[in-house]
Amino acid sequence: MSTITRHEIENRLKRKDANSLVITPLLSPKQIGDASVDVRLGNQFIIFRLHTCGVFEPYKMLISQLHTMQERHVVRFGDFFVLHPGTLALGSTFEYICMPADLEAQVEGRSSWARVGLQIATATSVEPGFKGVLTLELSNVGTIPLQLYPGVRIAQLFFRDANPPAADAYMGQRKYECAIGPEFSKIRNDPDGSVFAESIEA
Amino acid sequence: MSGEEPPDWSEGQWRNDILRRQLHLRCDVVRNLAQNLKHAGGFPTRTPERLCDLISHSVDLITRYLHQTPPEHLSDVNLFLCLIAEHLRFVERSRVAHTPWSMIQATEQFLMRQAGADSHFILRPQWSYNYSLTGEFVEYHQTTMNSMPWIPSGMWEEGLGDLAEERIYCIAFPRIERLNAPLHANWGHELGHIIAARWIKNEFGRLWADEESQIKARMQKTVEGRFPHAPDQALFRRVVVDQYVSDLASAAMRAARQGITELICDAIGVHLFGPAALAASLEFSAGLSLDENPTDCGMYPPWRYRLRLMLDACETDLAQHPVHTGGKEATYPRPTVGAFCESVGAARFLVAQKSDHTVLNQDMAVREAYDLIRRKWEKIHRQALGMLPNESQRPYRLSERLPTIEDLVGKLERNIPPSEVGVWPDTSTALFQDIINAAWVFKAKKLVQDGGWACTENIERLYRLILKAIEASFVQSVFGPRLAQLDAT
Repeated sequence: MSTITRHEIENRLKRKDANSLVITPLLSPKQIGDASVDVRLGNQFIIFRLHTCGVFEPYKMLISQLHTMQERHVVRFGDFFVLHPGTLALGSTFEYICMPADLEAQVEGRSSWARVGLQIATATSVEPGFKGVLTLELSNVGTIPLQLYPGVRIAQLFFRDANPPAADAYMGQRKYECAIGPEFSKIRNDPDGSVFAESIEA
Repeated sequence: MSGEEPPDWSEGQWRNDILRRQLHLRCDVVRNLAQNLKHAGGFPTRTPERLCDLISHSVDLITRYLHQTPPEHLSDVNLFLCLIAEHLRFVERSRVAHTPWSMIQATEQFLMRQAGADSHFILRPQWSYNYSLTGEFVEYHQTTMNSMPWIPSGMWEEGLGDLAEERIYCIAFPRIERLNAPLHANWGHELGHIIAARWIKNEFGRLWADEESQIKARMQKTVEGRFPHAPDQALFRRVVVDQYVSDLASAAMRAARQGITELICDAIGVHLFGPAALAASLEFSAGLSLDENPTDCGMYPPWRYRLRLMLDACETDLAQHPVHTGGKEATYPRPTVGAFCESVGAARFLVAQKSDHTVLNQDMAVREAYDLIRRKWEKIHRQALGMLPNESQRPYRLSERLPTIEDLVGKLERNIPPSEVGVWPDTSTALFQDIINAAWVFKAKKLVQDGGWACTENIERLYRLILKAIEASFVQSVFGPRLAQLDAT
């Protein structure tokens, strides 16, 4: 498994077949680096409603009940979102990504943001065949509030060969397919989760 | 008690005391509501905040000069205040949570290009299943405020600044269709109301004046035939006939004016969105009667009549004809758009029935109105479209956009938002109308391929992809050139 570099990234972006890599829209060719592609911040955020939620019960809450603990916030392009120290917000990439079956990607923060305390992702792997915007788990581990403008370059993607290619790459079977903004947690859909959440007595 | 004089009460005094006190309170409440709504934010564009500023400003002036308001005008001021307070519901419902926010900025930009850069639009849902246009608000405030002579002349305009030169409209859409971006091609029709109002203001009076005497003469002839001659009641008969003809002519004028208004709106919708506007109208009208008599529905033309004119305007895009693509001869429509052209072309079956004509002929006033519309429609159509800005004079033709539409539909097939045409780096930003048409073309194609395709999951995925595409193309069109300029330096 090796990281692909600029030439191969560009070749993949230019391809028209099923193995093409799609990152749309790329607002500037300068987003493509030597071995990565910079992605921009989208304008939707999911924030927690601390005053209405007791505890997150992953296998008991209905999807509709999630709205009692999280809410969606949309920021106009040109305005900003403030991420306060010690808080988590879900954001997403502005770019919509289509991964071919023979590539996987890693999402990494940019050091410029890391230096002011912004972490952008903890679930950093993008599987072959994924389609959608990438949800970013934005957290401010610094000590000062951060203004986040939709459209700024927020993260970078590193691509690696997936060998052999995934046979049924995504094919509409995954939880977060074709998302256009950050998605509420769907951990409830894990088929085996509830097994461990049931009492084993009697 | 019995020895005391009753207080000197009059209805005017009673009204004056209560209204003057209550108006102070109501003004405070309305102004606070407007400001609170504005500062609570959460709007996809700045237009709802502009309406809040407009309302706050008018209320401010009313409050400041309330002590000088003549008692006999207090109820008028109260009425105006209540009406503009109602307008705050447009602001409240336009928050992102209630709207298809991804497309609102792009839609407003598109609408402004057609109606003028000084026009701003609030897009908000309504629970009734209908699209509608309300406004214009700035002119309404200006006219009303300037009719209050106790407020110094020019003060309203002076305090409002640039906003006094702008126009604000509100377009409503059915709440349950919030995410149905393809159906929102109906916004073209609503925009048409602005153009139709201009046409009615500039042209309708002249048109009616030219035709009125002949219409009345025909009515008179028919009406006189219905009243038997009685020599001893000749004068009474004359009065009755004249009154009857006058009422009929008035009804005919209303039917003609409303009919022309709606037909112009349809024409603008088709002009801007091409067959997508017809497809949206077909989907919208499927649950409604196609042959309702205008006199029973606020003088609106029957849907079948409207669809016929829209179909006529789209015929070039729906009929087979030879095309040149890439130096080769081919027949339009090609497979990608074939299913769409066929499904929309099914409207031919609907309009081949003339049951709407039967309805229109039932009533003398409506018959005369639609006779006038039939004779003059070509000219009206041309004049109305001529009121669009120069860059919008050319109608949207699906047949001329074929390679683009095929590219965008290809992206939808791969679950990619169709925001760009081509493959990186040779891409161009997709047009708003192209994205909407591609959505309809894709949907028709999938429905033909698989009757079970139209499940909620697939339809919602299509809506998501279209919403993302509209947003991405908007951002690209605004920020792309700035970044390119920066990259070049």
